[in-house]
Amino acid sequence: MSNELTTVDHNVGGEIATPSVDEEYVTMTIAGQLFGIRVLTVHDVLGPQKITKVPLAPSEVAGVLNLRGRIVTAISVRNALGLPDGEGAGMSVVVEHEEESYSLLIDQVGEVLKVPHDAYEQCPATLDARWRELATGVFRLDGELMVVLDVAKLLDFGLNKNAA
Amino acid sequence: MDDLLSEFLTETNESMEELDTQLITLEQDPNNKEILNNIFRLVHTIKGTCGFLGLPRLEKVAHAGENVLGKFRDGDLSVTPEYVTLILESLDRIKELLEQLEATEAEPEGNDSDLIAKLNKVVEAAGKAGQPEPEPEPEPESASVEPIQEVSLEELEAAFQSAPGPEDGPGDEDEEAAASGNSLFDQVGGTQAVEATVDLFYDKLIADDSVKGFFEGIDMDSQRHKLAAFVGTALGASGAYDGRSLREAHAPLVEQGLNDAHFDTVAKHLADTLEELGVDEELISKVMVVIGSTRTDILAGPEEAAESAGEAVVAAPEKEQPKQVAVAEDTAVAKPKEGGSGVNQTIRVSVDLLEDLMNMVSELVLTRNQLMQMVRRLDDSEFSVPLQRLSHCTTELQEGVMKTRMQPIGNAWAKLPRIIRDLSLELDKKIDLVMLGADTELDRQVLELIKDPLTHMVRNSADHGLEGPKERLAAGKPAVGKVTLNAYHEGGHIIIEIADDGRGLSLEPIKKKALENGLVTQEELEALTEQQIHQFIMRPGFSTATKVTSVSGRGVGMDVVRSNIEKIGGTVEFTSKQGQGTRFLIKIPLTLAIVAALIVEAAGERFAIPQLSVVELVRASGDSEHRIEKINDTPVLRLRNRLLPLVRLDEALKLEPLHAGNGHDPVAGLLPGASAGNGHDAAPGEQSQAEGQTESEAGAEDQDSAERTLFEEYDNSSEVKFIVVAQAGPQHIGIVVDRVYDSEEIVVKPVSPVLRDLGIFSGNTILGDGSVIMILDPTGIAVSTSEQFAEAASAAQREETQSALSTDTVSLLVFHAGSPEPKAVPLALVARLEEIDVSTIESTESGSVVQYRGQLMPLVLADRNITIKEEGRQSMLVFSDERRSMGLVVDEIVDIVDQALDVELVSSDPGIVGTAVVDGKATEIIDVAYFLTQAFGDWFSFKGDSSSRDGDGYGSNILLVDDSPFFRNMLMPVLTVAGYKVTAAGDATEALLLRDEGRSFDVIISDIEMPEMDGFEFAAEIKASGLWQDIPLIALSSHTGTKDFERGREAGFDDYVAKSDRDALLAAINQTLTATGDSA
Repeated sequence: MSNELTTVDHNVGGEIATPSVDEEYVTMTIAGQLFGIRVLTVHDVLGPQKITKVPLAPSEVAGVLNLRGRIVTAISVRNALGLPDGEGAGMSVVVEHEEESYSLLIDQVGEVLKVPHDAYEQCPATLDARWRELATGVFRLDGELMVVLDVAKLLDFGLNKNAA
Repeated sequence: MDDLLSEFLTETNESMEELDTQLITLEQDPNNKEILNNIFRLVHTIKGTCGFLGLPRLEKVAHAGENVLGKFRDGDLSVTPEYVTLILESLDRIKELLEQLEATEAEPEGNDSDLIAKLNKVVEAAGKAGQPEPEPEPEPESASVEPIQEVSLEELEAAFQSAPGPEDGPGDEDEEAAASGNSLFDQVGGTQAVEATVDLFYDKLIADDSVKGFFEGIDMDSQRHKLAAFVGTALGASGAYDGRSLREAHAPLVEQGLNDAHFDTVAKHLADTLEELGVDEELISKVMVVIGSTRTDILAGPEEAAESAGEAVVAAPEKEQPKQVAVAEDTAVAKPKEGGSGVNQTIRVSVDLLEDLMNMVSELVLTRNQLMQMVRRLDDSEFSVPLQRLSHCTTELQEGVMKTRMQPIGNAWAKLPRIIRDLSLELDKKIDLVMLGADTELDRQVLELIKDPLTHMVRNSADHGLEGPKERLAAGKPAVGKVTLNAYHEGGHIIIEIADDGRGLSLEPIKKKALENGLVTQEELEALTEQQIHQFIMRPGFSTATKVTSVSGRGVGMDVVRSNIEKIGGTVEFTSKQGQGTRFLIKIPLTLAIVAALIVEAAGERFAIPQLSVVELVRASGDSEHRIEKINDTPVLRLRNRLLPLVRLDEALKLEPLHAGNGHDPVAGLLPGASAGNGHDAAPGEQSQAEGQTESEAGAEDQDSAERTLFEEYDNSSEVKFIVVAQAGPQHIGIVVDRVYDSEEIVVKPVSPVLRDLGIFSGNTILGDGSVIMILDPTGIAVSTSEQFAEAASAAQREETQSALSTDTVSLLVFHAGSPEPKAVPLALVARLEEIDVSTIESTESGSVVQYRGQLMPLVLADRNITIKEEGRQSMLVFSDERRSMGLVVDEIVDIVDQALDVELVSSDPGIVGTAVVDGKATEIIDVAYFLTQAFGDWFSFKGDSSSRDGDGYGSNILLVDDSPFFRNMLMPVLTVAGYKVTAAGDATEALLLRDEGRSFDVIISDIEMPEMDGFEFAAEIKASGLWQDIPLIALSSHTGTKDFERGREAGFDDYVAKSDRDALLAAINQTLTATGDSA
């Protein structure tokens, strides 16, 4: 936990360590939990898509999809967080990581929120290890907690796992 | 970057590559003036351009290098490896500077005085030995301002005036009339005036450092005469100078290295001279135009001139001359291209632009496919016709763009001679690099990707493969090792062979290393075949080089090469024979951009398999000819008398069977529609268009039930399966799929980095219907399931390996008979080797015989000078067919040698076919047929009378087509002896002539590997139409792998026989004849 700050410092996914200014986040829900990704890192928001499964791929990789003529890898955030597969139509947000586009499959995309920087807090130490790995921190919002997704970690995950 | 600079960089980089190659060539052929001149010119151009662009460091290095080259040219220095190394060193320095220049757009700081000093030292040393270096410092034109006049201006003026000048020329016609009526020669004042002009002109030339070199050391008068001739003829003096032709007149100048820059200078001097003499300005212009127009003519001939010049080319101090256009008109004269090759119809286009174009075309093709698919669903659409045209245009456009990307593979090889040279110096080996098929073209993207692997492999061959000269000599090989590169097209592939005649892979170090790396256990190792052990070198981090040289042994080995080549859909195979060398075979697709792919389906998912790797499709079901059988749950298929290992795609990809349904599917559960594309509207196993991809939610239920039906059948023994027989590395595997759709043209896109480690996909693409599809890599599938698969495949691979090694080599039995020179006979013809107790030899009227296997076997002496021993045992070669034997008495059996046989001298001696070099010695190859008839004069008729075996075939006419005279000579006796009438043809064309003559045969036997028209084409040609359409064809080849066999059948051969297998050939002929006899 103590090195949480330094680990996110690489800042690949555009996430910030401890925000010093108020920033805008795209909110989304996965299994009822509110998540946020900095608005500037989101390139696109998509409705349900036709996804081609990729056999033998890491479990987080839901498949590949055609995004306006580009082939984009779809990442199941639920799987990455160790959640069971959800029901019904899902949406996705498209982010870019090391010049590759990825579509993050989530349950529902919410609104764009401007969150006060002083509401930021590090992940509680008791949080599930997988979650702690993928989250940069938590914002205390009115009536709800928003977990900030570390996109870079999320997308590195597959690679690290393969390399191991 | 500055346009000028970037152009300079491009051109110079090209020149540098050419220089490398040319220098190596020069080193091998030091007396080749043409190459030397070319090198000199390239360096000179670089130097000049550097000066022009203000790049002093580069210029200095180039200049110093050029000086040394100048010495070569003068003959003051001989071209030795040391000097070439020095020049190469300076080229390397130039390359370094260029690299930095490219990166920073400025010449890097630094000093090359060390290198320049070295170069200068060489020049000075040579200078002491020979003439002083005539290279002058670049000087401005002003050097010629003060001509040293031997003749006063007045004198010349007088001479000029006294001659009929243009003003008072013949008839005072106006300028125009003069121009049309009289030659310019007359207009300037005829012979006398020209003489005078030339005198003055000559003085100017002598004073000009840049051109005076031409005239130095040459007799003044003859020189003046020549000049006068030059100018005179140029101006059209009719017969004024002994009728010398222009070419003769200029030849002496060109011989001495006259070039473009000099011409400009000369022209300027001439213009100045004429001006000084008060010639009309307009007239000067005209003269200059004439002179300018002769430029091309004059400079075009330096090569011929240089060739005709017996003596060394006189040092021509070429000097970069700022282009001073003497007269305006001069610019209108096209500068001749280097070597006078005329106008070059090419333009430089940036690679980026081509890439963009290619991408656009790829997208266009995709959109076209999409449209086609849409229109196909509509009956009779008004779009069909225009779409057809669009499709046509798109295809043409695609082909055109593809062509722009094609480059000769030689481009990737350009660096190799240099590398080999450096290696041979460094490793102290003698290496000969042979490059064949350098003009084979392939996509530049592919070219870029194979450049490094190729370089690496050639290095490997030279470093690991080839032995040092001593070791080679000790092994009985020539001291010079050979690395051969060969590229050629085959099907949709380019095949690149890299072969060396070195020591081959030695098993022990590989075994040791494999154990060390924990790749195998000792027990496993024991069970492995040689070939399997060899394959370890393809494993990561596997380098057996005992010491790390600067060239290899860094632990980056063949695995990198292999993965690089496999990345572009290629394969690497290799064969190695200890002591004889290693041969790598790289097979790569022509292009990567757009490929045809077969769309297949397994467990409801569609995948693409590149058509290039698909060999055939087999439909298998319980009741059909092709049935999937199982050995311990491993499915196999009998395919043409062979077992084809099968891989079920759904299992290989760990796909869940369809009946699990969408609800259990993680992705589909998250996003319904994820598994869309399973349009099971057709009965299972039936081929159908992929039409149902736009699956609607409403239809999902029906489809589920259809899928369930499919699954039930799937488990049933009478299941219908499709087997895609695919090429995976050297072997074939059958990929079992549920359905096969169309083939589609797809644009291969790389998979995202997350998925890159999955070896089974070579990429992904978007289909016409907009869905994404993964492209399967059959090799990857084979590897992923390899453990049980490798075993099954290894046998086939071994066979192919052996046939590959036996290519063009013949086993020869070497013996001594009568003379000290060895004799030889192809081992295939010999039945047995015997040593017979001389006491059993009996004499009869017709000669010596022995009782042998219950028969009397006549003995024939292999040479007149042989005397049968008095006692002991006598060596002999026994030749026999089924019924009779003949013993050929020899003095001593020496050895059996495997080698390529080239009968070089044809003998007139009846018992000798000719002489060949066998094992380094001139060896006579004996004519077996001759000795057979010696033993049995009635061999043929006897054969016919007694032979029941040949029943149908006896006396049949056989056409034997083989390009090798040796094989013709060897097979003819074999066939004749077997009772056939044989006609031989040296190649397919010759054979086809026989067809045109109306000759008919009962069987045609054809070699496969023949120049121009190979056996396959020949077979296709025969089977296509004509008189010989129904004649059975037997292929004769040294390649007898399964693949070759199948290819032969496809081409129309009725049978396929190994070249060396005499019995099989006879059996095949007999069988074929019997078969046709029965059917007739």
